[in-house]
Amino acid sequence: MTDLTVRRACRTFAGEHAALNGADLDLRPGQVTALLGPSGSGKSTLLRAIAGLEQLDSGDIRFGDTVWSEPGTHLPPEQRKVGLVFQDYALFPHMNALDNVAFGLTGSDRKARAMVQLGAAELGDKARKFPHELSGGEQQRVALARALAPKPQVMLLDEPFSGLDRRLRSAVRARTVAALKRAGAAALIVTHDSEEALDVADTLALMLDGVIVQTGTPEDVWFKPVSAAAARLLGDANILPGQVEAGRVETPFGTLPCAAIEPGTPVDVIIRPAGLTAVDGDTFEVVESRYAGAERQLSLKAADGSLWYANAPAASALRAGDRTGLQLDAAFTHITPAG
Amino acid sequence: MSSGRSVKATARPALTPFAVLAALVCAAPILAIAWIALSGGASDYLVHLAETRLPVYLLTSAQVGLIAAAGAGAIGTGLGWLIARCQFPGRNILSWVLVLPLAMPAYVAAYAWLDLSQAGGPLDVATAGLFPTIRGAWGAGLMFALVLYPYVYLLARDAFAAQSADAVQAARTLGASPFEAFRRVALPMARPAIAAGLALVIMESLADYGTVSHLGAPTLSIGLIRAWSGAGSLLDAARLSLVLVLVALFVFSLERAQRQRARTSAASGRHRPASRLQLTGRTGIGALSLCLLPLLLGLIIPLARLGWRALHAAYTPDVLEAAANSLFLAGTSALIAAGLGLLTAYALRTRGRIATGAARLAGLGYAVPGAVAAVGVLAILSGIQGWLDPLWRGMTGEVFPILLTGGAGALIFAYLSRFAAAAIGPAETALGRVTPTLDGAARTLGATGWTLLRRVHWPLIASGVAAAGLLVFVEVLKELPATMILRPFNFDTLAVTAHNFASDERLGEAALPSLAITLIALLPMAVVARYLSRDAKSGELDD
Amino acid sequence: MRFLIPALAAATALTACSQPAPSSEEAEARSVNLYTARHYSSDEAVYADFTAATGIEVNVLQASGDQLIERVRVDGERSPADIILTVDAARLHRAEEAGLFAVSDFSNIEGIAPNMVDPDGHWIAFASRARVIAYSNDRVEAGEITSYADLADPRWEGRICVRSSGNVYNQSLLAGMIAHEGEEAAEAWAAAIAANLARAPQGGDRDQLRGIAAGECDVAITNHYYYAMMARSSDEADRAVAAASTLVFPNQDTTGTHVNISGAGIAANAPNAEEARIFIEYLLSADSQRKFVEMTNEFPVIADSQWDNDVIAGMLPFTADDIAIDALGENNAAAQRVFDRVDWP
Repeated sequence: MTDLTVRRACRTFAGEHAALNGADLDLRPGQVTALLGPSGSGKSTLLRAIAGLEQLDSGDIRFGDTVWSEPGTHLPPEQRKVGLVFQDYALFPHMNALDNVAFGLTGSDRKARAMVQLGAAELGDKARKFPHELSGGEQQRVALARALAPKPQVMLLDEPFSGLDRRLRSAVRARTVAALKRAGAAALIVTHDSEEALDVADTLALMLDGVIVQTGTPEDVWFKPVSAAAARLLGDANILPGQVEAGRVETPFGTLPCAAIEPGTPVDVIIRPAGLTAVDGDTFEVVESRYAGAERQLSLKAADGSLWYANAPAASALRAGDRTGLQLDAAFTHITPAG
Repeated sequence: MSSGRSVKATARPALTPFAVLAALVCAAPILAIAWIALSGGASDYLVHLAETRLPVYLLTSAQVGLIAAAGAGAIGTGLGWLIARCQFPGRNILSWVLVLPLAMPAYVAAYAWLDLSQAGGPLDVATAGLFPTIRGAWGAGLMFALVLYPYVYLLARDAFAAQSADAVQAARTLGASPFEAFRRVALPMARPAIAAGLALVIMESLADYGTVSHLGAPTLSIGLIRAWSGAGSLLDAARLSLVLVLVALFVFSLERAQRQRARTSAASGRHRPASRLQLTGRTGIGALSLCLLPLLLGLIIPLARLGWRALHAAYTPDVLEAAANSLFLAGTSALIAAGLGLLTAYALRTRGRIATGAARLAGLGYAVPGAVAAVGVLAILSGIQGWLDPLWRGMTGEVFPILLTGGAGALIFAYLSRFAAAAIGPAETALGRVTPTLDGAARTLGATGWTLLRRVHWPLIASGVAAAGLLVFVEVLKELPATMILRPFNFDTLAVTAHNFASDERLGEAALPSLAITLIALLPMAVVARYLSRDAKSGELDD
Repeated sequence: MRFLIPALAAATALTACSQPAPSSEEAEARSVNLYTARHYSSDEAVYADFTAATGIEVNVLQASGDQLIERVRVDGERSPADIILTVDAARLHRAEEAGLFAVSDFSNIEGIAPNMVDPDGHWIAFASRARVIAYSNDRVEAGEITSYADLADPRWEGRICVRSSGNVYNQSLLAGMIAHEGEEAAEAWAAAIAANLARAPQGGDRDQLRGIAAGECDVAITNHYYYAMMARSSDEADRAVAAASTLVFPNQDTTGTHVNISGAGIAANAPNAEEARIFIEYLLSADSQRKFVEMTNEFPVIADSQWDNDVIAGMLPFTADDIAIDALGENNAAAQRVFDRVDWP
């Protein structure tokens, strides 16, 4: 089983800024990597470059010892063992589900094998239906089955759940991940939805402006984002600029230890809303109090005018205009060098 | 249009009678011919034909149709894909210029190519007899392919352009080489569009008379005219033309049948407009040359040869008058056809069975040779005249003042019957851009009825209706057989003048009117081509 | 812009219904309505001279013979046609059979051969053309061919050029043979010619002459005036083609060379019958006969006509087939069927 490695991938489209600006990535067999980033961060471009649908200006992509992309070399997509699920599924509209799944297969038993694949996706009874006769969820499963059928070594999924009903999503995510694990391929799921990324990933990679800024387990990345921008990718965050003095940083909630960073370095203190709870007090004024089912999400204004995000229990009576104090749980804080 | 919930378009059931009227106008001559053909006794001429020439006629018609379809299909599909999916030097201009050969009548191309390639002609002499003479079924089929490929090209190009890049790229990731991806995915997805274009090509080749008679290809339309002129039997000619109409119906229904359950546009979601494959260096020049080749063969060489001929021939001043007549007929027909097309398109929005059936019926006129349509018009008008005259005489004691068959009205009637289909299509497409949701939004803002039409519909569909009119303009300009039969006194068109000279083997004098037809038609054709290409550039699906 | 289009539409719609040509109901100028199947510039000169000489305007509707016949037939009593003028005998006959002609008395026309006038007075010929055989100067000896039947000989296999059997001149030629020899003999002849063809029939008579010049064939069947036209052409290439072959007028010793006629008759419902008569007589006048010979290279029908055309002069005199023209028309349908059966396309 071999790794897929991307090193210093660069790609600029004519007349535009660089889509990929030195991206590094590793995909390991049997592991699901989620690539999270905002629109325009270059994640789709990276995915397509791995598939061979885009060329790189510089940098290389290797699968084990085989060079897939390199200045002067570009292995075409049909010669890479890659399965790709598009955002809009890209099912062939002129073929039924069975023929779609069988497309990448060769041999006299290809239809039978395709049928097995469809059966595993619990779509056996829809084999003769055409894509426009299937629901969104069914189309997604057919697209996945089609990509998995030729038993690729690398599976790439480009925002595969974004076209689905919210309610369906977590169920579909679970099935998809299960299928990917069964196949044992190295899987990359590209998404802009942080909840999705945290759910599916064995490894989470954050991408900003054509560069992969952080990789790690979801917990690592969530609790210890490498920068303020990375933190915001994963959810709401309070960013407090500060300065390291003698191994500590001052915050309105008290002092936080910071031994790892050199004194005198400007830092960002990242505080998750979950780390701030309402307590008696009046240092903060509630600006907004939004009900979100299991909790209330508060926006608060401090005495110095800065805006803070905190959570409160669902039963909390806090509404806009009320005053409250906030208490910090240091487990939800992380300090990184600023910038 | 999106699947799932649908909103009813502003249906105007009141317009359905207009659609039916339009369909009747177009179909009446065919119905008249059918009536003539089916009345009357058994015909031993047809039996004689069946024993002798009929198989040849049918076979040659099939040959011509197939060669034309194969040629136009290959050229149109290849160029359509090249323009839609690739970028190379000259592509943007070629995108609409490649439509221009439609301005050249096939018989004009035939005059020029036969002149060039026959024994003793310049190509024969220059290649010491190696260059084959362009004649017979092969020659005719080739001429049709060169001149009619834009039908396929336009439809294929738009189909490829609208295709999501993802489908082809998915095929690549599943192991298909670029050619395989084209063959197994892009081409089948474009197949309905290509088939529609091919149906038009086959229809026009079968209905043609001028080209096949000049090049000596004995098709069914030749047999039809021979039955009329040689045997003197209009009845038999009418029966043979019924055969032609049946063939056309068959082709139509084939085309409809293959649009089965399979769809060609993505079932859901956004799609990515394809980025074009960049062809540079030698490949780019190669692509450019490939595009220029049909233009050269179908447009430039014939024009050049005719130009040379015209310069060396006597000038006949009739050409100016003929040009004025041609323009008058073409302009009038274009306006009426555009209006008819629009009314029919509105009626079609109701999706009523009557309106849809009417529109289908109207499209049949395209399959009928001009001579047959003219005879049908004659039959109808004389029938009406025969009914009106005694009525009028009974009421006023005098003869009814207008001779229906004597004016340009009869001729325009025949044109409409033949070409209305050409106007309904673009009008329908243009009207399709006025989506039901757009209508709904405008009406909530207070725009109803006439205001709705003027401020919302018209700006969106104006260019489509204009394109419809211009297409009919070009067709009428090129039309020959019906014009010969129905034109009024002292009234020659460019097509008639060219044909008279050419059939009298005076190609020098035929050259100038032939040139004139093509050059005049080039301008509206260019306008239509640019309009149709401007739409394709955005390449995005509606809705 | 928005109002321009509806206005234009209305304007053109109105003009579309109008009848562009003046009819006889307008009493301003005398006119005559001519339905003609001929389209030669000599005819236009004749019309112009006619108008200059008589003051009668000529309104021309030019179309193929069948189309004219159909139109007049359909228009019936209302037809504005005054004169129907055809370029061949078969259509003349067909028009006569359809009852499109009025009966006239042509007995006052002098110098015209009897078979050139319809015995029932429906029509009269005004120009004629012979269907002759052209042979290559280089590859055929003078005197080798004297009759149409000679061409049936197997030694001409692969050496004959002739136009399509769909053309009325070939049909009339065969119709004449059927009238003289019966259908069986005519069919045998046609079959032999079809077997001797050098190439599939294509193009018109002049293309057959070009075929001889290009070496594709050695003999061709053609109308005489095409040869004359090429011989007198200002185009050097045409003259070279004519110079490559010589004409022979077949059947001089038997039935006479087959001749076809251009004829005219007054329409049965002519609104301007008087003017029509004047016009027909003008066609037979010395001036017109001269034009037909000098400009179109046809043969005149009035004996002792004066004209200046050395190529035509070189062809005369010859013995023409004096068969009743009606016979050509009567056998036309049969002739076409014969062509179909022997596979002469």
